[in-house]
Amino acid sequence: MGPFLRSKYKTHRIMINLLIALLPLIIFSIYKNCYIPYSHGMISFIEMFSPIISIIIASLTSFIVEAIYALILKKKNYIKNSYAFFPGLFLALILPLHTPIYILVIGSAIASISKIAFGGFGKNIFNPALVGYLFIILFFSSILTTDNYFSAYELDTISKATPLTNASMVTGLGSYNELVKPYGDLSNFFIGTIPGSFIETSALLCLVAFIFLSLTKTIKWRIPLFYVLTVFVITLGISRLLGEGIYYPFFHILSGGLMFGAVFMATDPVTSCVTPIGQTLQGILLGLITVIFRFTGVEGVAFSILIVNMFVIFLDKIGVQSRFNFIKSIIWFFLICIVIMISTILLASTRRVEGSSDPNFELISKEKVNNQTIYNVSQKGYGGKIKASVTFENGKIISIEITSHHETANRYQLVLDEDYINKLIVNQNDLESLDTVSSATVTSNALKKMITNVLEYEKSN
Amino acid sequence: MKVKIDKHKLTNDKLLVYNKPKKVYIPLISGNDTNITILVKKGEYVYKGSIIGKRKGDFRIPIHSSVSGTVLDFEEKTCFNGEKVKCVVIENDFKEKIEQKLSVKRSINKYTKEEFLNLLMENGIVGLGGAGFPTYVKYEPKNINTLIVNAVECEPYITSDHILAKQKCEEILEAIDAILEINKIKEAIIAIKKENVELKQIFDNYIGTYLKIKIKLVPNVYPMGWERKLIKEVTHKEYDKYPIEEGIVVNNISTIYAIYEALKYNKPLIERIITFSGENLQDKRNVLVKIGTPVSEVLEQLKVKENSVIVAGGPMMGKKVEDLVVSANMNCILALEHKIDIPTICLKCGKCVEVCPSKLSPVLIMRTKVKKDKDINKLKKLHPEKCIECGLCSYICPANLLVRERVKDAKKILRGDK
Repeated sequence: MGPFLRSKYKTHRIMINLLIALLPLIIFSIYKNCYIPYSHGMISFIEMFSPIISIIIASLTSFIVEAIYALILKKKNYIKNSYAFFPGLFLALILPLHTPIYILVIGSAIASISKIAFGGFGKNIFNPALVGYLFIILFFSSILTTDNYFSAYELDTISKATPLTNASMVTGLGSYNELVKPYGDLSNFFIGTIPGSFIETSALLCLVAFIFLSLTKTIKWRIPLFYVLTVFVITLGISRLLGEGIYYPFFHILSGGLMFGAVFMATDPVTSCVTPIGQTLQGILLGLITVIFRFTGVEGVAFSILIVNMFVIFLDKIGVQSRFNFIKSIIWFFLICIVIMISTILLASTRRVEGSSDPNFELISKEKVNNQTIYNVSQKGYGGKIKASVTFENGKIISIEITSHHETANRYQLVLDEDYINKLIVNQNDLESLDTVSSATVTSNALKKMITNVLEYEKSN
Repeated sequence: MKVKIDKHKLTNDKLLVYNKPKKVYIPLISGNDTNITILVKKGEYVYKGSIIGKRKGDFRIPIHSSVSGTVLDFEEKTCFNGEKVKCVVIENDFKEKIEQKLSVKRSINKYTKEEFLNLLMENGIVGLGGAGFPTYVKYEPKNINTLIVNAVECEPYITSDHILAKQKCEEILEAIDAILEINKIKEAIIAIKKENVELKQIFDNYIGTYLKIKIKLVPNVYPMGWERKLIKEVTHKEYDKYPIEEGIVVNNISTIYAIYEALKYNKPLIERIITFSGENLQDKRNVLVKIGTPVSEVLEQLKVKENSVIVAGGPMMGKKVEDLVVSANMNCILALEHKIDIPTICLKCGKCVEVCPSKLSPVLIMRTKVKKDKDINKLKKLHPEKCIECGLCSYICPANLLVRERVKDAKKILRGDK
């Protein structure tokens, strides 16, 4: 059977291109997460290679699961052509740095099982790596705490802020000080020197990978392009409506693993659309759902991709129609544009956050643990920033913990001697009448202002 | 997505004339129609150009003998479409005797339209590009406004039109001019591939006096030679079923030259140029052959390797065949190495969707398993009937799947449903 000419571009070329595109990202991640801590003497030489070991173990787990499947069903050539190690590989890459190995193994196995359950390579509806990821998030969330997302060096240098992984990108909107400042500025987001899952932080390298993979016709380029564009457009709209700066849409597309998810996960050939219009719509839908998820506090990128996976067949139907009747498909574009506009306005109106009025005050992060809310804040004192974490329960401050300060030692001692911090908690409803500590006026006043600001913030939410 | 297929070179760009077959096997087929009335008997002597069969039905196209000699027998041989076809076996007496009606010679634009159509029909002129559609039928309508001359080879490897245009450039232009005058067509456009600079220069040298004939360069992508795509590229027009809806007639270079010979010499269609190529052929070149010549004879002369896979047609749309004879619509023969691309698993990369010139989604057609009646409706929405079988989907498939065959299967299922 013809044709007797065949393109030299085979499936394994696609897979090799993917690995080539991943390589710079992996090298960068090892540099950021392992080499820097090692060079500061925080981890040992052997520990530096732990991510590589994780990747290998996860890939192997996936491979073994599919090999067993192929053995049981006696599909001889299946394992040769099923690229069985990919689910585990991607899972290891999108999980936090310090994920315990046993979780990784379970996740990789689940990922491969989810692929097999649909009949193996080429038939699965859901992205296998993300199914494994979802499983881990659901069942091991207590083990994967925020610390897992930080490299040893980052733990030391960045005060405990909300890590910007796709797992905890919960606060959709905050001020520049809340979202970007703890990590420096947006260029850090672009280059990738922020905490996050192992591989997802560098938007720059994701961009390079996108260009490479698009030029080599490896991925469906429309999906990531329209995905990122849609997120950008919606968040730009929100920032305009709320008077936020231009940093805001950039923050959204540069954080939470969006770029990596768009380029590598959403374009998984098996679980994405085949028609060009379908791919475009898929990208737009992904963007829309991701933003909505981010604003409702659900995990962002990974969930969006899994949900849109379910609509792929439907989107391809539109894609097929549009190939014969373009006008029909245009209607869908208009519909989606309207939905995007409406959701932008709705999202903006639901999340109006007032910025802090005190320029010396800074809210670093906000965390919710059970019914407690912990604010990490800083206030300019006499010698620099006083950092503290303030815990609320049922709208009341139950503890104030000073995490760092640069106040003059003997004056700070005076504050402690007066038990001023406890006084602040006791008098939290009437701070106006609370006197400052004599001889340590600046320090105690700063603390008082800090608590006033935190209280204001808590009330406004 | 545009597909560029590697350029292919012949080892010898001179035309070989192979006109001495001992026996010819004239296939009783016209287009794909084998419903032919046989007009000769065993033992009968026929002249070169004698009518030996006539198509039944609407298009009463005759089939001519390509040699003079005795009818030996009727035998089944493989034809261009890969199927066994009944052939008239004629033993060549090498006298090349012709019936006296040949060689009329007159100024070729002095025909009336009626005479023109008759001449094309009587001489059995059919489209030489592959479909073998009777040419006179194309010229029957009165509202023709454009003649597109297809100098774009329909498949990679094929250069038969190119070599003919190179050698018979003047005659071809003369024929185009005559066709325009006889049929009162406003203009003719010769479509040439952009990279085929040589051909453009040749036409440029002679085209000066023909004001109605223009040259249009088209991109070098497959399947540019496909009528629908060519018309869209050249005139930006789209049509539903036949190009005549837009007043357009498309003929390729070989067909134009066959028309020229019919007009000038009253010569029936009994020979044509075929490209012989493929890695298992030592001497890759274009050959002028008589219709009915056994292909194996020509291949032998061109030093074919043993155990070659013989393909009738170009590398994309051709079929693997054995025991092949030359028919009018055959433009290429390939002798290829025996190799198998092992099919793997479809990963839904969507490349077949991007390359399909008919805007189909082959991967989705392939993945629609018809078990219930409901599935047939699903299949209908994917319009597999629009497939032109160009083979690009199979060509591009990174998993080596036979995508085109699956689409053809779907076509068959739908046809069975109707």
